[in-house]
Parts: sequence; structure tokens; C-alpha cells
Amino acid sequence: MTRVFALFVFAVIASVGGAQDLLIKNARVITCAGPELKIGCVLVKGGKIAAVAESLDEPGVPVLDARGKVVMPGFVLPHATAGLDGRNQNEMVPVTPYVSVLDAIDPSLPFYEDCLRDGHLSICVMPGDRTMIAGMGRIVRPWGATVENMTIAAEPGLKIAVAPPSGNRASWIAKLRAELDKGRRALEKQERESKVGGNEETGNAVLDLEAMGAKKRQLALFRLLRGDLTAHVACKTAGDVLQALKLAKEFKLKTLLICGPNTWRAAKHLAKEKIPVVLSATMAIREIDPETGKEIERVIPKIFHEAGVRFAISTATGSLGGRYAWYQAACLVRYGMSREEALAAVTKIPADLIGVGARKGSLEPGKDGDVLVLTDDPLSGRAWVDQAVIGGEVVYERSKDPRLSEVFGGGK
Amino acid sequence: MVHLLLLALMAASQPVGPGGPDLFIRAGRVHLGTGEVLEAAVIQVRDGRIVAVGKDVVIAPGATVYDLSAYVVMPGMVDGVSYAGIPGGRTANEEGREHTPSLRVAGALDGRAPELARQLRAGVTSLVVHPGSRNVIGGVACHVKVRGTEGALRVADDAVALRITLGTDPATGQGRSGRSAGYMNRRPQSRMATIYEVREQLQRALNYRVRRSADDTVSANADYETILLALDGKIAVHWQARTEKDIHAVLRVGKEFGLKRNVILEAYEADKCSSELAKAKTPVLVGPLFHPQYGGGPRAPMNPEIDAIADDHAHEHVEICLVGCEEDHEHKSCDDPTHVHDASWPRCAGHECCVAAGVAIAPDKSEVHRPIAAAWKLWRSGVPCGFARGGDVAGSTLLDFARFAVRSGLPADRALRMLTSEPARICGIDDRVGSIAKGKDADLVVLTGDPLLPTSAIEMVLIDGRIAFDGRKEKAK
Repeated sequence: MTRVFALFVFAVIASVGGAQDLLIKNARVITCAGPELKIGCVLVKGGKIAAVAESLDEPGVPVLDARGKVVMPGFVLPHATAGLDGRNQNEMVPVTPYVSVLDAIDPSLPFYEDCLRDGHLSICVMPGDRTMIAGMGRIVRPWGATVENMTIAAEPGLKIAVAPPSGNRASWIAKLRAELDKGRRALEKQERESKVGGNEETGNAVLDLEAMGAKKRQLALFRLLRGDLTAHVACKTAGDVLQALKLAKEFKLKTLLICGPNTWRAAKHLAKEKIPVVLSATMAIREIDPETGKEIERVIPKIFHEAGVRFAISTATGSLGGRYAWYQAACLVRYGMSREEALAAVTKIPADLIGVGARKGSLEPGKDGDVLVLTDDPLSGRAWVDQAVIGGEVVYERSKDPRLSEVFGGGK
Repeated sequence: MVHLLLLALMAASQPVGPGGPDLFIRAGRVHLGTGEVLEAAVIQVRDGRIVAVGKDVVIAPGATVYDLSAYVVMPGMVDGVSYAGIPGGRTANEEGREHTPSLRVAGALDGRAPELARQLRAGVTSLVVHPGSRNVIGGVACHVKVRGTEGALRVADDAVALRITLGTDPATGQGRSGRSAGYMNRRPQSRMATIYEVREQLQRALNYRVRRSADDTVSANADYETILLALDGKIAVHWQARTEKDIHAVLRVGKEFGLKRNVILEAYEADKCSSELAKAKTPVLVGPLFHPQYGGGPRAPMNPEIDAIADDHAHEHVEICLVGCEEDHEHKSCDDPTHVHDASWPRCAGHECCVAAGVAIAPDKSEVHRPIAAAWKLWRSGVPCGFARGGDVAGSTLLDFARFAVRSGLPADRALRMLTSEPARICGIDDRVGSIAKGKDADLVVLTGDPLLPTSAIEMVLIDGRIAFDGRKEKAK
């Protein structure tokens, strides 16, 4: 089965040239950075967006006529634990900052095939939620035969879980704090022993950690403690959110909170502190009121939105619609967000949060030429990705998708 | 402004009891459920029933009026396969005997089960509640309105269909090693034995009738009497038949016994034999369109070997994967992705053990489009079909099934019928529900926009002319 998917990936690569220039014309353009163009063009040159305007002409550049179609930036998944080889995304040893999804990403997984088909063009792949310091993530595109080809950003951050998968929370936090503390002391020792000058602004020594002999196993943790890496912190409950913020303050960590549905009680606090978060794909949870015995439905993004938290929303394969970024955005509109806010939560905001905001998340000159050509409005519920463009290359065409033609028997 | 107006009107007019004044609902657009759409129409309701619907219905002076002209109204949706309201959810199976035909679900319902409120919020007003799948002839399914006058559910018809389960569900957990023969080992352990049990019971019921008509000292047997209702076509037969071979078995056994009202449930492979189904005019209740196992889950949904694998692992499942839930609804999950997850096990959002299982299962087979495309294929082949949710499946709603089917090519008007009038007709409850027409129950769903747009929210649900769910009030809390 895997072999079939690998063939699929290669077939796609073989079918396109190395074209880096493309002019998409006559489409409705949703830029996710300002007003939509009823009819517009997107020009990609050298893999980057050169211009977005109502009318553009560029002799010599191949033209993609997208009449009747809708064009928008590729969706950005801010946190995915799928896409790793095998089924185990969690180390059983609690502290493994030195592992990296680099070594586990399997480009032939159908996950990437689906991402391409569904327009998820930037994916922040992270280790699972069950390991304390779980290792390094990677931002990839769903296209390319090797991890190196797929890589958008090599080391966006280190995954940390503040809640244990089971068992005592207090001892888990104590151990996490002890590990960070141990790392900090080791780093300070390293800094003292090396004779390189300091940086006045940050207070950190400007060091080449590797050159001064830091062990490979320690590097990621050192970089986290020096602020070179962001901690992507998985929080299950509101209490976890507060713990994560406390640790971040204590160890001066750059953090991105990955909030599970049960964190909703922390929404007001996050809003007050102006901390943006990544929300999990779960749209609603049910709680039983212990007094009345009645079930209460909590719509998570609605609570965060009404509290005023800026958030990106994830996708997950556990439900019918939750696997699609467009569906997640449509739900946000159903729950009271504006169209622009909803689309930003699956494009611009996740790109900003994972640190690739300068390259991804909107159609603006200078950004990467990652463009989706959709058959319909993304919030209509009927849209399919007709073409996906990555860096100016058409890397997916629905009409040539073998899986869809198999399923629909050529009828659709 | 409209909303304020709405609230004020509702506050003034809540009790619409029997003998009360007529209720007039002014709607921006009305989907009748039959494919027809009326713009700016009025629905007149008396004693919980629809009296008239149309553009020219005259609003009587002094009558109660709900002004919903900013909204879209459709009939309450009908879920043809549900397990809501059975304490313990779908796991409430009778396993003591292979066949319990006279068992009636209607007698065992918990009128205030949370699942009913969930269905209500999702715009489903009528459910056909089934017995579980762990024995061959499970009992009699009933038609339930999710809200009655006292807030609890209302059983509208306690005998809708006889439930028969084919495949390996009735055999799950049987034939365990280390168990002595007898109590747990006597039940069917293979697909063919399951079908044998069905034939045997149908034949015994026929023999019983002959015996009883010849000899009035033969005492009445409730089980056989129930099967005879089905054989005489007085109630339908709802067959759970997931695979192509099970579907063929339904058609075969149905023909042998002259069963006229067969309906197929959970027919994941129905699209593979759609021409036979169309020829036999056998309807299909389509769904779930998504299941962690059958579509989008860890295992290929259409793998014919799946049942065999499930059998191999059934033992470990029961032994290892059972995580007792503190709440009444039993709730099972498992961290070990090598286990096959039984299709009948509910996944319950918001509980950590299930979330953990979700993380552990890598989506290495993504058959998500196939079950959705099946709805379109069945429709195109002329098989009568309606959507059915088939249990509490991963937070997906019946309306979502229709939305995704439309994305995959099902015409929108057809999709709306498959949520309302079609399942009602298939289940034989269309005299009461499934469309907005004179004489039908006033079960209405009020939406902010086109029902098939995922951006549209359900604002209000009326059952028997009463407001059973009000999104505005929930927001005000």
C-alpha cells in the first residue's frame, strides 16, 4: 500500500517541470491580507509572489486561467502529530529533547497526499503530547520525495507537555522544572567556561554551542533556554495553561501554547495577557453539570473568540469535517466569527504563530508562491482544491488525482 | 433587531397547547422536505400539527406569530438508525439469546438521556431507536420524538421495524479460548451461522402459525408473533449488513421468505451492489459516513478482511481495551493501535482516554471520500436512500453527512430529502414526520441560512409546534 502512495508522489513530481513562474488569472482572489478581489491575478516569479492585482500581464510567464475559480493562500496547519512514520509519536522516556521528527517523517504517508489534496500546504509536524520534553518539530510542505525536499523551516520548536498522559501532575511538573533547571545550570556552566564575549542586549553569551563542546544531547535544550527555539507546549487543562506560562516566565522561554479543548477556562486569562494560542481540532466538548446532572455543550473556539483570544485552529482526522481546514473555518463562522477572522485562523494566524508569517499565510508580494485554486468559496462547504501551487509550481491537479478518480469512478 | 423581536414574541407566546390559538410562522424560506422550496411563506400550526403552508396563508388576527423572515425553515430531520436514549448507549445489547424479537426498545428508554439533547441541537427531531447489534434478531425498533410535552422524549410508534444484524457483530466475543462450551460459546461464531439463525427463526415463526391455526391449545409466543408481524409486512425489517456479501444475504433471505419491507443499515459496501439493490427496490439508510474504522480511520473501511481481523482481536479487546466510564454511558478506548476498534463502540468527545486513543491511531489509511461518495452512487443508481447517523459517531451530525455528500456530487435538493422525507418514508413514519405539509407534525428546524452551508447555524427547533431548542436563549445564559 505504501508503495502505491510513494508512486503517487513521484508521479506528481514527474508530471511537473521546474517552473517557478506562474500567472494565475481571472479568479476571485482571497488574499487573507485585506479585501478580496472579485476578479484578480496572482503573479509568482522565482517561487515568490511578485504581484497581486486586478489585472496583470507578464510576457513569457505561463498562465493558469482560473476563470470561475477562487484563489487563496495555502492553509497552514499549526500543529500536527500525524505524518510521522509508524503509529508511535511518543517516546516512552520522558525527556528526549534530542530527538527530531526529521528522522520520523515519512513522505509516502497518505497523510501528506491528503494534505496536498485538501490544500494544507504548510504543516508544522510535532512529536506527540505524551512525552515531557518530546523533541524537535519541523515545518514541511506536503510535497517532495524526501524530508529535506519538504522542509519549509527546519527547527521551529521543541515540543513540551505540561500534563502527564496519566498519573500525578505535581510530580510531572516537578520533574519538568528539574530538567529545565538542570539544563539551565549546564548551560550557565558552559557559558562560564567558554571565553566568548557576551551580548549586552539579551544578556546571553554569543556562543557557538557546538563549537564549545556542548553535547549533542543537550543542544536542543540549550537552544530552548537561550530563546533560539520556541517551546510548543501541549496543555490539556486551564491549569496546564497557567503552569506553562509560569514555567515560560521562570525560564524565559519563548512559548506557543497548544491548547486542548479543556483549556477553555483559561480563555479570559489568555485574552488579558494577549497570548495567542493554537486550538486543537475539537470544536465542542460536553460537560455534565454536577448540580443538575444536565449536559452542557462548550463550543471551544466560540469561548476563545468571545474572550478575545487570537487563535489558530488545528485539524485532526478524528471526525468527518475536522480534517479539513476549510471546514474548520466554516465552523468558526457558524459560531459567530467573521469570514475574515475565520479564514485568518487557518492561514495567516497559524503562519505567524509557528514563525513563518513572513513567508506563508497570505497572498502578498514577497511571500512564497503557495496558492490554492478552489472550485468554490472555501466556506461554501463544496469547494475542492482544483490545483495546488507551491513556490509557483503546480504540484497537484484534481483532474489527475488517481485516488479521487478511483472513488468517483471518473464521474466527478 | 430581528433577534430581539423574536425573543419578545416567544416570551409572549410560549404555551401552544392543545386547544390553544393557532400558531403562524412567517419564514424567509421554507424547504418542504419533498424537494420543493417556498420563498417568504407562512406555516400555520394547530395542536402541534401543520394546518397549512404557503405564501397565501392568511394570518388570523390576534393569533400567535413567530416572525422568522430572516431565517430558513426545514422539516425536523429524521435519523433512521439511532441508539439514543438507551441507557448505556449502543452497548446495551441483549446477548443472553441469539434472538430476542419481542424485545421492544420503547420500554427501556431514558427520556432525559443527554444524547437526545445533542440530537435536538443538531436539528434531528425524530429517531428510529434500535436495539444493539450483539445478537442476531435484536428486537423491535421504535419511533421517538426527542421532546414531548414534559421535556422528556415521546415514543410516537413503539413498533417500527424488526432489527436483524448480520456479519460478525452477533458473534463478537464468542468462541473464546479457555471458556467452556455453553453460555458464551453457543452463539453463532461465523457469518453463515448468523444467517442460519435468521432463517431458522423465520421458519419457526411460520411453522408456529400453522400449528396454532390448526390447534388452539398451542399457547401464544411473543417472539414468533413479532416475527410474523415482519413476515406479514406490518413492520419493516431493518438489517445491519455492512459488507457486500451480507447485503446479498439480505436480498437472498428476503426473497426466500417473501419479505417486502427490507431496509439495509450501515451498508458500507452498498455502492458495490447498487444495481441489485435498485432492482430489488431495497432502500438503504446511509451512514455513518464517517467512522474511525469505516472511513478515515486506522483501517481501510472496505477491506473484506476487516471482520476476520476483528474476530482475531475480539478477545484482547474485551479483556484489555475496556475502560470503564464513570458515567452511565459505557465508554471504551484503547491506546494500542494494533487492536481493531469495534465499530459499535462509541467515542465520546471530551474524555481523555478517547483523546489519547485518537492520538495513538495514525491515519495511515484515508478512505474518507469513499463512504461519502457512496451516497451519491446509490442515488445515481436509483436506490431509495436516506441518511442515518447510526450512533454517536465522532461528533458528526446528520446534517454534516448531507453537506459532505453534496460536496461529493449529490444534488442539494436530494440531500435535503435524504435528511427528511426519504428516511421517514423508508421507516414508514412519513404519515407523521419528514415533510412540511398539511396534517404532519409541526417539527421544524430554523437555520440562519441554507441548511447545506456549513456556515449556517441551527437557531431553533420546534417539535409538535413547541419550541424544544432555542439557540438564542442558550446564548443569553
